[in-house]
Amino acid sequence: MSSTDTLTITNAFPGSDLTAGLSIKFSVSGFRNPISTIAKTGFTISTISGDTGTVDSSSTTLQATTPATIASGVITSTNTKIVQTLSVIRATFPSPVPLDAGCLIDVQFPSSMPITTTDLASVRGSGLFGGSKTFTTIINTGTRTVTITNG
Amino acid sequence: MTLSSQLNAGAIFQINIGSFTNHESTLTTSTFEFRTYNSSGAIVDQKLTGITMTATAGTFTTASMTPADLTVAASTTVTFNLTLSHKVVKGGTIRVVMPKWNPNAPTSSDILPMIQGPFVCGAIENLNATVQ
Repeated sequence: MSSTDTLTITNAFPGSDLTAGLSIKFSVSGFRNPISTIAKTGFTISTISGDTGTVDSSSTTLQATTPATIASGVITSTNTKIVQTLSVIRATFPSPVPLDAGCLIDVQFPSSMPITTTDLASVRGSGLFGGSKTFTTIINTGTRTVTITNG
Repeated sequence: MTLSSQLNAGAIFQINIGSFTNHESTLTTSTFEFRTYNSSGAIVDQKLTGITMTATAGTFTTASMTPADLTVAASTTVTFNLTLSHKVVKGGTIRVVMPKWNPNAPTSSDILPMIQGPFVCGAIENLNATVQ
């Protein structure tokens, strides 16, 4: 399978030649924005003369700047719901986009239930980094955030 | 061009032609033809094939792609804005080569294109578009 796809706009200028310095503008629907806010590279735009040779050609990028929204998420205690008791919690959420290897997950705890470095025993999960396994975690008590990685 | 002195067989000479305009695209030209003539106008040597030139593509003065919806992974319309560095003759074509949307998917059948049909190309400025 080819690693690229090609969009071709034929007979784009049927009326007359387009002179140097002219701006052209067009829109194409049906695009999927990139899967992260990092600018996606690998686009090459070219003008092709009637003799099939290239005239101008430039590389460009496509960037989405707003993160996608995780449509739903559930946190449940799986062993005990008794107040002030250490428990095992399970977070379940669907990922709206494909996640590449090397991704990480941030879970921010509410201020009424902050995470501590001593209380978190381990994090296990499945569906994100392959089969069920124990993940590496980094706790930031200042932001009440647990960062979960595959490392 | 008239030689001012005799050239022996095997001699190599070089001609610099100023203000020569390169071909309008990267397509290799058909052959140039070289001929030498004696003082009576009769052809001495000639080379009528295989002398071609291939120019290098220029770059757009500006080239950008802007999505209408800036949300990650959203289905959207993208506006292309180009400023030509070089003339394109009427009947020309615009080509956009695109990477895959998710090239790192573990299963090749899950790798998707950046664009999915049906899609519509809308001409905004100096374009009459039919997309393939």
